[in-house]
Order: sequence, then structure tokens, then C-alpha cells
Amino acid sequence: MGAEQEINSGRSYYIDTTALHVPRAGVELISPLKNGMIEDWNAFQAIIDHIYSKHIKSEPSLHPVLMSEAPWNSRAKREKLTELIFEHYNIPAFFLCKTAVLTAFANGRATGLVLDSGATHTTAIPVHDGYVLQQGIVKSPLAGDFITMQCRELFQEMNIDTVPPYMIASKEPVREGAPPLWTKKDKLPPVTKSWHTYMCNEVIQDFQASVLQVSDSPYDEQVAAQMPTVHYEMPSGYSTDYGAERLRIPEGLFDPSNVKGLSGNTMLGVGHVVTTSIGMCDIDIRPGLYGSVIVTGGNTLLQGFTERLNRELSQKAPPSMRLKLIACNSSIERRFSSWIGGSILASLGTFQQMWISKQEYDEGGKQSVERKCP
Amino acid sequence: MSWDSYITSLTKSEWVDDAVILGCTPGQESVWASAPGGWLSQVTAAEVKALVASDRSTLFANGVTLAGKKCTVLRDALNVEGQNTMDIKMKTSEKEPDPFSFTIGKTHKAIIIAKGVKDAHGGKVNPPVFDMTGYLRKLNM
Repeated sequence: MGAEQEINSGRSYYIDTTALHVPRAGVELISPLKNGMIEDWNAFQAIIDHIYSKHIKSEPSLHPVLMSEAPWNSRAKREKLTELIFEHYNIPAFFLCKTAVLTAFANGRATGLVLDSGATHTTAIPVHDGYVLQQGIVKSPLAGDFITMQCRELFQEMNIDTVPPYMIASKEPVREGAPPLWTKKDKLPPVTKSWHTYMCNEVIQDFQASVLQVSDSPYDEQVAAQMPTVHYEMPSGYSTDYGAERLRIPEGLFDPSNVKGLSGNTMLGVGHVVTTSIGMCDIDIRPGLYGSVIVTGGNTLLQGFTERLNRELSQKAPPSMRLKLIACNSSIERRFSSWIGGSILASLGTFQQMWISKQEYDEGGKQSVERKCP
Repeated sequence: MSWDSYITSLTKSEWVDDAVILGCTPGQESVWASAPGGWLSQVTAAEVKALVASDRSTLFANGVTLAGKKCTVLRDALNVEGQNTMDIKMKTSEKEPDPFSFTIGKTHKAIIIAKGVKDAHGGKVNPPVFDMTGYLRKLNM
């Protein structure tokens, strides 16, 4: 994530989580990626420059680079990235590996169905022996951002203001359900809407992570009404208990049929995304895929997600199929599984044959990436 | 013109140990040249027809066979202009414990199949087949 400021001649970028949270006038908050693929190349280059100067602190020409990419990355973008890497940064060797393959390696497997539920998309990607089967990729837009939006609507209905912490100078304890008492910081710079929205979203995402729970069987009003309530306090001091909403909101991920605003759309629930993806693959490899369903992505950390998914898949999978769900317990491992897989892959002896060297790039051009990085 | 020299230029790579060139025009799917000692020479005319079929949808769900051995299709760009290659991998079983990588290239009149050595990454088998396919296409072969 980066923030940028318009100056007359060029743009300056503020990069990294610490710089991100400082309120500055006129600074927009952008992501260089769209749909998992690089869209804003200047911002991407600024991030790479920042990484080399502030974190790696070494010359780019001294270190081979293994980079992950979205499994549906377009050929033009791959070639453009390869060209940037070799021509601009003079990197000695390069390899582009799909995130799903790296996630599978991070979980100790070369074959499996990778279910990645992040902020923007929930995707099922079949991986066979270290290769992505592109025809089996199934995407759904019902993921973290969808849940955030549903939470925001809930707060609007309950008349709760999501006040982000950067605005609050001090707050006083209030009774449960009473309007919050807080004082605004003075001398706040005029921040942009995109930045402010992001800060509000962070508050909602914290609520999402701590309060919401996925019901282990399809949502039932009576059952939900008897759920134990969870107490949550907003940064502004407003606090209340949440009961049935805890189960109702994430239900949309697994059963989109009842979600407001989605009716009429043929959206797939998470269970269906998995089974549809496996159904598009070669019959002989399907048992291997059902036997290794790898769950990854920040959105899957919702309480009860993996148990519900297990239940859904055991109902939908063919009866003779052995089903096994693999999910790391730590949140770091689930959110960064592709990086972990990349570090494993780059250390393997068998990987050393796979690099695209500078010499191969000079001879074969940027098209080499399509040949050598399947 | 000796097709055998094309085969040797493929198998001289340390990553490729078997290759075959077959005709692909309907009715003329015969072996033009193959590597000595390999089994790719036993690819049948029916298998060639299945590989170059214009309807690609069944290839992924059902897989293909090469000389009777079953394979999974990983990447199919056989009919895509500028690529004309297809990457597949052998399915493992008790008789065949090693999943070999293959790349198939389609020129105007022939298909080239190259087999990777054990543990060869697909990205090592694809470039020689791609280059040869491009070269033959330029010669209108």
C-alpha cells in the first residue's frame, strides 16, 4: 500500500505501514494493483525502489529475484515486468511464480486446490505438480471487502459512526449503548477522502476480525438468536453487544442467496467455488485435489470459516472422495503463504535450473518469461 | 532434408531425452523422425488427431494420451498464433512413477513432441520446442 502526493512537477510517494498512518494534507491512498495484477507501474516502481533502498540496502544487480504473480496474470503484464526487471534494475536472474503454487509449497505440497480468500476476491486455483491449471480457476468477488461493506451497512442501520483513531484526541467511558463522548484533535490537516475511507475501513476490519463468526451450519434465525453476544468498543468509546449479526453477516460468503443487493445475481458461495473448480479439471487428478484443499488468505481467518468449509465440502464432494482441508493456524502464515513458499522454492536445489538468467533474456527477449515460467 | 538432425538438436539439450516429429495433416499422421531408444515413436495417428482437434474443451477434463500413456494438460496454446505450444505432464501410476514433462509444438504440417528428463521443469522443455516450431513455421513447414 502506498500514499502519494501531487507536487507540481512529479509525484512523491509515502510507502509502508508507518508512513501510511500519518495524516497529511492532499495525500491520496492508492494501491498499484488492480485485480491482483500491476496497474500503476510508477507506483510499483516506487515501491521496488523503496524496498531496495530502505530494506534490502544493496544493489539490485547483485541478487536474483523470485517474484510472485496472480495466477491469471496477463502475458503482456508478465513481459512488461520482465523487461522492467532486467532493463531497469539489471537483475542477474529472475523467475515469476504463481502465488497459488507458492502457497501449495508453503504447505508442503506440490498438488492441491488452493482456496485463497483475501480482500478483493475469493478464488479456487487447482495446482498440479507445481503447475497451475488455468482452465480450472474460479473467482468470486465475495471476500473481505464484501464483508467490510456489509458491516458498514450494519453500522449505518444502527446509527453508529465509525470514527477512526487518528481523529480522536481523547474519549470518556460511557454506558453501554450510550452515544460516545470524544473530543476531536485540533489542527488536523485536510486529508483526502480516499485516505479517510481507508482509516475507517481499518476500524471496520478490526470489528470484522474480532466479532464476526461463521456459523458451522447454514444460518438459522432461531439458532443465531441464542448465540452468546460479544462486546465490542469502537475507537470513539461507543460500546455495545452484538448477537445474531455476528453470524448473519459472514453467511453471505457461503450462501449468497439471501444477501441484500445480490439477489438476482448468480454468485457462488465458497463451497461451490471449490467444487466448480475441481469439476473443471482432469478426472484422474480430482482425488488429489480433494485430498489437499489448501486454505489461505486473510479472510479465511474469520472464526469458524474452515469448519464451515469442511462441512460444505463433505456434503458437496462425491461420496467416495477423501477430503482433507489444510489450513495453517498462524495468521502470518495464512496471509503471507506465497512469500513463505517463495522462500522455500528459491532454496531448493531443483529450482536452480529454472531461473531466467540475464544472458537468456538478452538472447530470447522478454518472451522468455512465457516459455520458462509456466 | 534430414528430419533426424532436428531430433538430435532437441535431444542434445541436457533436459530433453526423447523427441518425435509427426505429420499432423489429416490422413498423413505418420512419424517423420524419432529419437532412437525412446518410446515417443509409438504415438498413434488417433492421438495426434486428438491433440490438434479444434475443440479444446475436452482436453482438460479428459487428458490426452501419448503412446497409450495418460497425461494431464497443463497449458494449451497450440492454436494460439505466436505460441503454438502445449505443455503436458504424464500422469503417475504404479507402472509410471515419474511425472515427465512434455511440450508439443505445432507447425503448419507437423507436430513436434519433446520429453523432459526426470525432474526437468516444464520451463526447460518448452523453449527448444518453441524455437523449433517458430523456425519451421517461418519456412512454411
